Formats: sequence, structure tokens, C-alpha cells
Amino acid sequence: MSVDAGTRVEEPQTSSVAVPGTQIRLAQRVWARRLSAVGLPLAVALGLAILWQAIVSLELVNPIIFPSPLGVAEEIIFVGGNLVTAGYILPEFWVTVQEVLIGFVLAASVGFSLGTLVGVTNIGRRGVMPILVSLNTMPKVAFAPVFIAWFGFGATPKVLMAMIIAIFPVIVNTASGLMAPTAVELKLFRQLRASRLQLLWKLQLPSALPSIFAGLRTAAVFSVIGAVIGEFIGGGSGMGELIRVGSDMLRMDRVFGLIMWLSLIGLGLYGIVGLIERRIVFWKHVPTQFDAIA
Amino acid sequence: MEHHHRSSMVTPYPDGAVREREAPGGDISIEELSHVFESRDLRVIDNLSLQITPGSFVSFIGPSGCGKSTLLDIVGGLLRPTGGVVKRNGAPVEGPSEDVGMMFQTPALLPWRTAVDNVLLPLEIRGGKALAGEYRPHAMELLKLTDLDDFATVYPHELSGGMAQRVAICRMLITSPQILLLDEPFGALDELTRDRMDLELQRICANQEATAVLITHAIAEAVLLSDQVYVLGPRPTRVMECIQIPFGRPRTLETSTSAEFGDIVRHIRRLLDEGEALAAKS
Repeated sequence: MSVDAGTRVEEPQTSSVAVPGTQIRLAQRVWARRLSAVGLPLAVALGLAILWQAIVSLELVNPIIFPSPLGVAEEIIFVGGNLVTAGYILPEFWVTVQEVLIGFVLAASVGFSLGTLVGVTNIGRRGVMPILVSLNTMPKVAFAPVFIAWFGFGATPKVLMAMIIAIFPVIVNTASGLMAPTAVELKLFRQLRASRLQLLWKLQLPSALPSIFAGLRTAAVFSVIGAVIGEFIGGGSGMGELIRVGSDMLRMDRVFGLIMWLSLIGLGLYGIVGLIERRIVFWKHVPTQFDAIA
Repeated sequence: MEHHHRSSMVTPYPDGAVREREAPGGDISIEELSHVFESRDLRVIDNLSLQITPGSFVSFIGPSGCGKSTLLDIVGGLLRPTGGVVKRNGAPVEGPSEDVGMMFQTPALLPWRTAVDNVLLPLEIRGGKALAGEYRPHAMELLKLTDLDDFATVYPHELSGGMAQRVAICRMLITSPQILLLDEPFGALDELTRDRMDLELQRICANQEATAVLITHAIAEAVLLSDQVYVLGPRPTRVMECIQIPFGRPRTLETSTSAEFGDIVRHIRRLLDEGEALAAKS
């Protein structure tokens, strides 16, 4: 059985002659490669952290506004502990998580619908897409005060912010994915006398899945950005609110600690989408956050 | 016209009934065919006429862009010609049909379907998963014919180029078409695989008793596989010459090393060069 050139070979081939020495050396080489792949960035990070600490200790920057790595590490542990022991930060964290999730689900569903409209119908492609493209050029963050004026200081404007920032990658990727089938594939389906619906269901939609999921992964990260911007401007509750207050009080080490934990929301959602993608789009390799290392 | 000894083809039907072909399938009649691409004001085919006898294997060979693929698309019913008519079994071609199987330069397998599900695709489109299920044994037979029965549940990204094209061959044959249209199916493969696939194609066509029309750039491939080779001129294309290939069947790679084979290849190459020279002058 021959292996297609595109298949990634993760392990080196073990020799058919079982020479124990060779096999041990091969295994060692694999682990050495893996170690250096993780170890090298770690070493660089450590070096940078030392440099950072040096800059702060030597007071090359104003210590009031520029935290030290040790200070940030302390705060990361503090915030983490607070979350785990259901301290005052946990409800704020949960508020942000909810805003992100609802915003993301809205962006995914509405985005997919609009994307399908644009990708499949003529009026969608020629009538609706140009409007969406112009809307996309507008700085969507500017809508935050608008939503607050319309919907008040609750969670709604934050959810809407998450949605409008996250929706565009979904629309664009859905539309382009649906138009992805090659000329030969389209010819095949024409030769097999497939109906328009069969073409959509059996060819276009499955072809579009890799692109749609790529859009969803971007939307996952964007949802967090939207929610946080909404919280910065709208206030009330959420991680964004805590960060804003912390910055106002110049507690920069606390701010950095909060930012680290906030990032987990985006990473987590990105990871979940990636997991689902790997099961559904089984024929394509899905990049993970760690693919830069592999 | 040579008569070839072929095993009679037996088609298993889902209800167990068996159909034997009384006569080999599909005669193709191309009558004063011309085609112009209106949008580009490009005349690609100019008054082309020829007859293809049922059961024969015919190749079209010609320079790039001469209109061979357009010709095949018209015969397959994918394109309506702007002039002339193409008839299948006496009736003018209206559109694509299940009696015609096509193969393209790339296998165009759907990556989210297994090999056997790809083979069953035409039936699924015709009659849904139920119909496809009935023909599953037939699909497995075809995969066995092309030595792929161990790979039935394998996905396209796990197959090599040659294997993928073999799956495409099975997909083409699942509806037992009388006419096979092959548009440079092996162009993307390396030479060794290509030679193997040519012999495989010969074996399959002998088994199926269908009329086959092959478009290729490889002169040797055309001469090895065909009963007649039609050498086409540059665009707008017409038949420069029809060459009758005298060798008996089955042909092997040995056949392609004979002196007579070489003469025919040289002759075709000269024709093609002449055609290009004429086109360059006009």
C-alpha cells in the first residue's frame, strides 16, 4: 500500500531488522527533536523574562506602570486561585464567558446563513455581498457606544459586539468555501445529472466545511475581543471591566494577570472548535495552536 | 475492421437477474460538427465528421488547445454544438446520459467519501442511498477488477494518484455505460504508473465491451490502446488523418517496442508537426 505524498509521517520508520541498538537510537532522536521543539521556545522565553526582570530591577522604566515578571506571575497565581476558590473574580469571568459563547453562537449561525446566501444565490453574491464588504470596512469597535446607547449597560451590547466582530470571517469563509469546488468536480456532477440541491448538499457544503471551520476558529478569537471591548466601554461586569478598573488604579501586574486568564477563554473556545473540526473534517489536517512547534 | 475476441460481459443486477450484451455498445456518429465559443469568438471545431463503430477503441490526438476536450464534452452531452450533430446509437445527443461514462484528467474523488462510496456516487445521485446500497456488491466487483478490493473503505487522501484514478474508472463503470469517454486520464501520472494503467485500461475495456474514446497527448499510448487513431489538426480542428492500428489483442508493452509500432508513432508525430507548421504560417 503506497502512502500519498500529502500524508504527514510523524514517526520515523522502524527498521525491519530488529537491531535493539538502532531502535533505541531512533527513539532517542525522536524525543530529542520533541524536546528541542518545546525546549527552545521555553529557553527563549526564559531569557526574555530575565531581560524583563533586569529592565524593571534596574528601574529603566517607571516601576509604577511597568510590572515585573515575578509580580505578574504572582498575580496570575492570585487570579487563578481566586477563580478556583470561587472568589469575587469568578462571577466576572463567568459573565465574560457567557457573552463570548452567546456572541459566538450568534455569529456562527447568522454568519453561516448569510454566507450560504452569498455563496449559493446570484442575488446574494451580487446584491448582498458588496453591502457586507462595505460594512466590514467600518471599524466595528466604533459601534460599541452605539449599542450601549440602544441597549443599555447590561450584557446585550457586549454580546452584540462579540457577534459583529466575529461574524465577518464566518460569512466570508462560508461563501468562499461554497464556491471552492473545482471545475472538474462541477463537470463530474453535471455529467452525473445531479440536481441543484444535490450539488449543494453532496459537493458544495462538504467542500466548504474546512473553510467554514477556519472561519469559526477565527470567530472564536474575535468573539472574545468583541466582548472585552464591549465591557471596556459599557462597564458593569466581566473581565474587561476588571481590567479597566485595574488599569485605572495602575495595578498593572493585576491587569496582566487578568489578561492571561482572559486569554484562556479564547484559547478554550478555539480549542473546542478545533476538536469538533477534527472529527467532522477528518480528511484535512487541522492546525492547532501548537502547530508552530510540530 | 478487426474483430476482437472479448469475453461477453455479464452485468449483475440487484435482483439477481443477469444481462448479457448481445452486441457491443454505443456507436457514435459525428456529422459535420463545428463549434464556436460565442463569448470569445473562437472557432474550435470546423466541420468534423467521423463514425465510431460500437465496441471499438478510438483515440484523438492533437496539439494543445486544438479542441479535443471540447469535442469530447460535446459527445458526452455536456456541451451543445453550434453546428452539426452528434448521434449516439442513431439518436442525437441531448445531454449527459447514464449510458456514457467519463473520466477526467484528475480523479475528482470526493475526499469525505470512502473509495467504494465514491464508486457508488452516480447511483446515489440517481436514486439515493437505497439504490446505491443495492449496487454495493457490483461496486466491490469493480474494485476487485482493478485490484482495489482491499481499499474499499479507504479515503482518497490515503490513495496514490494511480489508485485514485482506478477508483475513478470504477465509478465510471458502475452504471455499465456503453460509451466511455476518457479525457487524458493518465496525464498526471508518472510514466511507470501510466504504462501499468494503460494495460489495465485495455483489460477493462476488453471486459466491458464498450466503445471507448480516449484523448491523449502521448502518441505511444494512443497507438498501444486504439483500433483507430484520429490525428486532429490545430484549432479550428478537423481530422487530419485516421490511422488504422494493425496489431492484435491483447497488446503488451512488448508490442510498443516493435519496428512497425515505431513507424506508426513517427508517422503521427510528423503529421502533428506538419499541422503545427501550417497553423504557424496562417
